[in-house]
Amino acid sequence: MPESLEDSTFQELLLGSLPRLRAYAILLTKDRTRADDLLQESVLRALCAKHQFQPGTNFNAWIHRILHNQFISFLRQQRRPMTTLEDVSESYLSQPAGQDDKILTQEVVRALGRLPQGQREALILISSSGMSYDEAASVLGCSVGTVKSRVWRARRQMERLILDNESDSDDRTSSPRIVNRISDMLDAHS
Amino acid sequence: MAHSLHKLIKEFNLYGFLAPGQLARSRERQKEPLYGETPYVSGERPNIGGGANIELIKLDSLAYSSMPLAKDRKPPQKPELPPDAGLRGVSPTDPIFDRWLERKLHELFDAVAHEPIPDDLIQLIVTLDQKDRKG
Repeated sequence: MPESLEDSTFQELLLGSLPRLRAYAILLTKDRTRADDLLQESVLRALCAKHQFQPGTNFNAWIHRILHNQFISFLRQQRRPMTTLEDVSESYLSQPAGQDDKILTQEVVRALGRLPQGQREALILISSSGMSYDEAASVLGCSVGTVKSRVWRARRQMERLILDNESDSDDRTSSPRIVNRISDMLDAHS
Repeated sequence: MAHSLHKLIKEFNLYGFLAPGQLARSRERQKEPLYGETPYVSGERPNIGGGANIELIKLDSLAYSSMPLAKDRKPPQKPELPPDAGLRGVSPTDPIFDRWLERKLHELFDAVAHEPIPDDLIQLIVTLDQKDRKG
């Protein structure tokens, strides 16, 4: 195993990781402009610290960890209320889909934006990005058990936010209705 | 020594002061009924050690002797949880919702991940990398 990565290899790894890293940043910050700022800052940090990356270790987890740390710094510096996550779903919502599906996607985006930061990060890494619990733990700098706990709480919180919002906005019978719609969609996909 | 101590305790009917576990262990050791023909009757106030008006704790020795030892007691059974219960068993989860949420989050993420990366960011990486190699 080489002592250090070739520069070209590092650049390839970095460019290859950008799409998923950017998606993570967008879901995390709930704002495309801020996500691109965060991504740029993280890329700069990664380039400066590229000699610290150990070849043979998980590059994806390493670069996500840098972005996570950068995000925490952003939160501390800005202390501004986050904007809505509405624009995150614009590309997804522009795809042809049923009206129900679009409404539910908006609900998911809204609920995701209301999760506490730690839970949101864990849920995105595990459920959206498809990372393993080990990888997510190394990104977030906590134990695997903590990640599992956060993901579980995030799912329950999402469940409450989506179903309760539905029942608040409509009549009392709408919660079972949304569950039925979800169930129908799953049947249609499987 | 131990035998005479037991005899003394038995004579003064002091077993009522012992904890249930000690009582049962003592009974097992002696292989004989505790109080023989004259069990201690709750409410009596025997004069022990010459002192007067010593309040004895009312204990039903027979009931205590039938209690199991601590080591033989079984821990209370926890209620069975469904296999899809949450991490700490706080509440059962809804597998339909979880599957649906997983799919939704994947779709959202993939839609964003397929967007083109801003050119200026790629340009920045290439430029910085070139500078780094020259420097």
